[in-house]
Amino acid sequence: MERMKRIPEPMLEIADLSVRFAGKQVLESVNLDLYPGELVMAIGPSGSGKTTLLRAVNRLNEAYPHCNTRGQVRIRLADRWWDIYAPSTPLAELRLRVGMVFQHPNPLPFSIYKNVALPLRISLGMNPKETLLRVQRALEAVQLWSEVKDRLHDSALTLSGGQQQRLCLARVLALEPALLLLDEPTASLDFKATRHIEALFQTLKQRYPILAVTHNPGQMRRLADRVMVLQDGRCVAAMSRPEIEDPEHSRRVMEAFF
Amino acid sequence: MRPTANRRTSDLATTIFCWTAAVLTMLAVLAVMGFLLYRGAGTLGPNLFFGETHWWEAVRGVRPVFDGLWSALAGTALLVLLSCLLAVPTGIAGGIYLSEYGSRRFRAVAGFAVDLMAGIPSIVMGLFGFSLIVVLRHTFVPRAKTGLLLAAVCIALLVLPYLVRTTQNALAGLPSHLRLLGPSLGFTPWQNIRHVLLPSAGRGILSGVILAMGRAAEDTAVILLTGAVAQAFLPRSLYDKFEALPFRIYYMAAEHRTAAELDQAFGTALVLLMLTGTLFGLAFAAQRTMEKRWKG
Repeated sequence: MERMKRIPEPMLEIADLSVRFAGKQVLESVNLDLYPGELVMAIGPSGSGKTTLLRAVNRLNEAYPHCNTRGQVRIRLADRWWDIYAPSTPLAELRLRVGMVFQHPNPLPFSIYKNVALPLRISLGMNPKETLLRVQRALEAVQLWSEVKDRLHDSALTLSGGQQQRLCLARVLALEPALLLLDEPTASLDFKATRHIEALFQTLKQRYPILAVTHNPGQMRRLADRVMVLQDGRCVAAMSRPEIEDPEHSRRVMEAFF
Repeated sequence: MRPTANRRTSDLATTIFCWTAAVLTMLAVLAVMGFLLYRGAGTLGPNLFFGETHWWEAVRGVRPVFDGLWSALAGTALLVLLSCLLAVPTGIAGGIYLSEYGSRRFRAVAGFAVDLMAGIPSIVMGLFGFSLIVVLRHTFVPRAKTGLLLAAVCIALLVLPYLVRTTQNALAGLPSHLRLLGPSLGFTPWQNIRHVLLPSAGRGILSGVILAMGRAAEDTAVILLTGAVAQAFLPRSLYDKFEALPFRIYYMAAEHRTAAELDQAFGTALVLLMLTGTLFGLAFAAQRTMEKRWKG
């Protein structure tokens, strides 16, 4: 109720979403609203459809053959609702506004600078001066600037795993997205790098609503404002922040579905 | 106990076999080079290239070179350049299409056609070029004759399947996380290919280009039927006859009367090797420059 007063409209609306790959049902009738300022997490075992849910939002599922998506995904950009699957929606522009961080750090085999600058130049057509400013701002936002400012033209592959993942996050933030999709972004990182990135997400969610997936209950407890539990492509349970914080309750839910 | 011992034996046997194979390959290369050097190195010199003609006059093409390989060297270099100019962009584009755009069905059909084309013996390709000229003569272009352009087209057809396949495989071998990255950053399919996939697959594509160049430089059967002649002149136009190194090696070796003449053939072979080596070096340097620019 309180949220309704403060924030009247969601940023993202997923309604009755079903996805099939070559006839195999991967997601079935999933519903979700994502509001500004919150981090919603989908949790579930491997193969429960978490990644497919994220990729349904920026239509990356279509990169795979025989994908069939039904239902509605709508996003609110500059007070206008866009149906993501409408034929008239410009796909490349839409993907620009929906930033995605992948499970494994995937820097391009280019320099650190170019990793962040390339999409600015290609997708936004920015000039070199603006680009430089944007790159610096983005690297500062992920607390990487001080670590790499003297070696911006070294290969991005020389960075550690945690730094690479922060670079990938910076690459997304530089494009100034409307919301963030995080696909188990700390799955391949060690404890320290994980905590560093999690702290970043805590601050970032004030600016960007975040839809994340994880299979790690600890991370869910630390980060999530709301949780949806996925199993075999269906949403089988949901938890609010007080329920997540109640160890007894969250343990019961987790045990029931894992 | 037994199985472990068995496994260890088979492991050892495989290692030895692979090691031997690698060493034998190296030895074979060294033996060929060594023999060529032994027989041909002595003939290397301005005389082998330009005979009695002054080099500057030969290079400018104002005077014929009667017993030098200059016109053959120039002919082969022109042939390789021209056929690569035709085949490399087409082949890479074809590979991109097959890997990135074509439907599964089309990919299977076109892939089969490409494999079929790779299997065509070069003499058949030469015959094709020859018949093409015959047909043209009787229809639209009565004055058509064999020459540099026709040979380059036929060689381009000969090397095209290698280029298509290596490009396709280099692109298809890229990990899927790289493939999804571009679209997730708002790149159009072509931007993704141009800025993410092609740079990442650059080295694989280069190996196709090198293979194609080597094949274009060494092939004799195609040019035999499409315009190569033993002559002392440089080709004056794209439609002119030309001389080529492999062809020169062939007729020198086939028609030699003295050991010295045969040594000249070995010297020519050495020059052909050096030419292809230089071309590989150029291709490699071009790829490195592009890579540097891409990575900057």
